[in-house]
Amino acid sequence: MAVSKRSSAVAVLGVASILTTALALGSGALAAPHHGAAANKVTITMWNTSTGPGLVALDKTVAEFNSTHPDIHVNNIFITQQDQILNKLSTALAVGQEPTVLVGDVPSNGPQELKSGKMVNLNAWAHKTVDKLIYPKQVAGCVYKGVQFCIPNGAGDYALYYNKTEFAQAGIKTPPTTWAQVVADGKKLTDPAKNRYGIYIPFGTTEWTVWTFEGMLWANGGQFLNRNNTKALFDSPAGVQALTVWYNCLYKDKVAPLTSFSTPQNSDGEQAFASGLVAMLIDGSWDLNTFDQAKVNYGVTYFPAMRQFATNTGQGSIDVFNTGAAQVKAAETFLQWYLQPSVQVPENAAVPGSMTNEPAVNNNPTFIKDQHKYMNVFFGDLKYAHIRPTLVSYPAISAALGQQIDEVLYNKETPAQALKIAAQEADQILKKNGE
Amino acid sequence: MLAADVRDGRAAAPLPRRGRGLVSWRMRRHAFAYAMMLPTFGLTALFTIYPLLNVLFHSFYSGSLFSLAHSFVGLANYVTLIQQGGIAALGTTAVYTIGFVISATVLGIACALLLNLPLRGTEAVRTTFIIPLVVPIVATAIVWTTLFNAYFGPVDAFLSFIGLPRIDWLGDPAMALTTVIMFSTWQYVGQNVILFIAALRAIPVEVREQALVDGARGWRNFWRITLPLITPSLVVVTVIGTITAMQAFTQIYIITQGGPIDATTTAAFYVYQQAFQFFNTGASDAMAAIIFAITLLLTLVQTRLLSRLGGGGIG
Repeated sequence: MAVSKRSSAVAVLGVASILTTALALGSGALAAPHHGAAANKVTITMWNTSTGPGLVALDKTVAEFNSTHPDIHVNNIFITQQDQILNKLSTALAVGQEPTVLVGDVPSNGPQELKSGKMVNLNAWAHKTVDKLIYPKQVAGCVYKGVQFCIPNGAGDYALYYNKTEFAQAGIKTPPTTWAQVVADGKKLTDPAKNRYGIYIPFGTTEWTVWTFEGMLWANGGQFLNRNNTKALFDSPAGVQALTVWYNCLYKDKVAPLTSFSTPQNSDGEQAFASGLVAMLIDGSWDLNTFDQAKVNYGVTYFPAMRQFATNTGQGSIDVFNTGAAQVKAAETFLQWYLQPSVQVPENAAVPGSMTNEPAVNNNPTFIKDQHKYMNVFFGDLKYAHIRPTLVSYPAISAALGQQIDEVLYNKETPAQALKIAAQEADQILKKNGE
Repeated sequence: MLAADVRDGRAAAPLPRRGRGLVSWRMRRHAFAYAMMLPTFGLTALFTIYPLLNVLFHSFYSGSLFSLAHSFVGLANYVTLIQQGGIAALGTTAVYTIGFVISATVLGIACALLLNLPLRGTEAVRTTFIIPLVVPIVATAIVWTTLFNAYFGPVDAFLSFIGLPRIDWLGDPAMALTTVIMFSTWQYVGQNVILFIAALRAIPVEVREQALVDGARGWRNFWRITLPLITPSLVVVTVIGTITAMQAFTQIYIITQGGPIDATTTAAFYVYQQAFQFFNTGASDAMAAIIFAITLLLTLVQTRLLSRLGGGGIG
């Protein structure tokens, strides 16, 4: 009898512990994106990768939308930084917990994300509405095999920052406009004994290194891939000459420090410029505020030319995922409202260093008035901007090329060897992915 | 007939001789214990065993990070791994693991021996060893990156001050892995110190006194008496250290991102690169499977070897 009562107690305890475990596991579902359609109100989840003033401005914009559209509620959530979005999104898509809208992705992720089958094809409505607000070349960057998978949102390019105080002390009156001048000025600015160098060359295997090298390549008249995107062309003489300029800055002319300032947070080497270690830096408008706060006396000029001016433009993007017909329709309504210049101007005017994809916004007097004094350089450089190819293969090609560029910068390979190896790997990747 | 169970001076019912009756009796007797272990088993099965089997299964398939579709490719992923830097990553992992385990263990024992001395202030010093354990590794790794920056880090500034040449701790391929090992040792040595101090204090006083009477002092005392008696803790430390080292990722991601030129790309970092940079989930799974197999083998070998040296099992 005693044994029987004890068995019952044990059984109850065992069941209780299993239920507790199940409850703990199930509670995760409560934190999942909530897409709902309560009576006459559709709720959609929007992930964003904005930070700092950008996040504050976006929150304010979304709150305004929610207050003026009682039939739709946008649940705006900061999910992670832009360069970490793939990790979060891949997991969410695998378990069906993706958001309806993602603000702050990058177009180069799109061809991979399309494989999930959950991205909404935006051809039907974006093409007739919001695309007309955007620079055509940038819309083209959101199209893969005829499918528009995203809407460009947020632009960026890079230019050359220079330290005016260092330049004045070295007797240099004007900033360089070509890489030959960069090297010549660099020699006057470099004094290793005082820990002073002319320019920072971007070490590291991240996309930043490759993105910057692409600007060098185009500035020297080279091409990244052939017209059909079936073969790499960056190992051409133009590409080898471009990479040789960087190599010479490090080992022949010795105007650049031999170390990497790349971190997971950023790879552009802002610390090197802010600390005064280097007098010139390739960087984007996002660091204008950083150098203002560091009280650096700096100027900005176009990315130096080789045979021609060129730069690279990166952009953010907005994706829409199919989480239900009502949610997709609500997302369409939100985005058509959100991308209007009347909304984009005040939102971007509140974010230092912000660049948009819409000419009506970039040329708006209110937007320009509130912008940093050097933003005109970044806007002006846009006319020389190229875009990266939008391919499934691009991330892998970039990783392979980045590794080879790093081998050159660490003096382990010659530019010609490195680019040849990278091009061969790129061709294999393109073939494997059937581009 | 098996011995009957006796409680309160009264003999309980005789035990079943064999078979299902005996099993059933044992389950009833230990039902409470089994019930208490059930959630742990369930969670382990769900969050450890199932993902492990999943990874092993998918290491023979090619797929994408974003698509559930995959195709069987046999050993092709393992071949890709060999052809695309996987062997080098395993080699880096071996160097890192050996360096970390040896330095963290030797330093742990040395610090424990010193802190076990009956001196004033050792309690306060002991507390400082816990600090790296409780501070998030991401935060300490970021600070370490600044400390060891070749151009404006305080470590190189001090070296310059005392007339020594600067060292590019993080940018020199020959130094970067050593720097990461130093960081990991600093991060985890406190754990080893705590374990070894507990082990030293568990040595019976009479054993220590007898050893002294017999003339065993200094190094001989340590080698002949102390080390064999703390072997169980040594086994635990080396096994945990090995497992930790084989999975090292966070510090590498923060401090060196696998560079310079793959000098610090360990197997775990290789898994991340293949999955999230190259979108090659097959090769990523293959490397994860290899990490598991090697870790398991090393754990079994270490446990056997060190236990034999100490003349007993773990604990």
